[in-house]
Amino acid sequence: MPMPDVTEPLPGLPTDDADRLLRLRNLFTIPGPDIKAWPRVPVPVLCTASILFTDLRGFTRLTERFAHDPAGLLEVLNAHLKKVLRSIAICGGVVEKFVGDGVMATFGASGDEADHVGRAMAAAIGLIGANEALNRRWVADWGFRLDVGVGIASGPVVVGAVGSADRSELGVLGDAVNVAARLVTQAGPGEVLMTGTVYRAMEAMLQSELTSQSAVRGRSGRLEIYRMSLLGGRGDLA
Amino acid sequence: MTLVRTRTPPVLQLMRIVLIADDEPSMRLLVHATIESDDYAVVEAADGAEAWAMVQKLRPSLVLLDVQMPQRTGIEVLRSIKADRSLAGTKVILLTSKAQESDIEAGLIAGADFYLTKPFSPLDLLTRVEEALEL
Repeated sequence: MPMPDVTEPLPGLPTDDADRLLRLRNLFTIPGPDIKAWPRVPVPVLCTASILFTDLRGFTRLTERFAHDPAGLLEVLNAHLKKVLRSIAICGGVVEKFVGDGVMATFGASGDEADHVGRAMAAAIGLIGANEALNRRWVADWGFRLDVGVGIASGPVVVGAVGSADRSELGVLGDAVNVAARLVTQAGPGEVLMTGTVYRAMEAMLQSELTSQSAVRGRSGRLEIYRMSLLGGRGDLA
Repeated sequence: MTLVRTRTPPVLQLMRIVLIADDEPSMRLLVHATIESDDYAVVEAADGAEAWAMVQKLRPSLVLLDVQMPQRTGIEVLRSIKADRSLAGTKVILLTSKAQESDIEAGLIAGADFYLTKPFSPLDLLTRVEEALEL
């Protein structure tokens, strides 16, 4: 199969970046990308995107509960992830990778520039709601619930090949990725933590509150962090 | 998503329907994501005229109406719903920005069951939808 040419940056309009992003992603959908076979390493593409991370709350406790039924544990996790992936897909996001029991998704890093902040937020709301529907069933049938937290940040990122000629994968890197990954660790059950940039893009549509947190681990600068809770007291059911 | 079919899909004949009417695509997506449920089907309209056409065709259990929409305002659609006795079971929640608070009184007089202001709280919206549908 001939490789599409993404080795030279295309001059001109921003739409060229969208086109190059799409072609770059297509390269890595071919099974087992072998960079050694390519004439040149693909040129990375810069873009502005929104990054969403999810993380389960209390999953370690749940693994204890399923200590003698690991297959059951996998079934529960996949039921949750199925809802997460569906919400992300509906909102036009791309799941970049699974991170433990959560996922990292991007919006606007695939040539789909329009309203990436709003679509990331809609995905967050959708996946928390869908997970809550699962929880109602699990609480009724099995007496447990599995809560999810979300972190969202927005900003410039680079999309490109990460690794070496022997082994590589498509990576999305940037401060927004690191910040979103940190935020999700601080998000409570059913909460979305977001940066000030994300908040300001959404403030006309959604209610959020400024948290007392202003720093994330591993980052020197202070950061405005806003919280939106979707469960209220519902997360305390079990 | 905008429903443009001429015949009502079978799944919509079986399920209760919630209609979101808002001319702002981002707002429709956020509201849709907030209230998405297996308990009912969610459909969308992009202006007041389309909203009224879909109300007549699909006879939704609940309509979430933006007040300021092109073609017909949310208040006009609300009045049409309340004037049609065959739609007596259709409940209406108005979504209005804080700058349009004068519209709230007009909406309540016209028969709105509830109103929410933008920016909205997803938790409040979901609670109101579940109350309206008695879930």
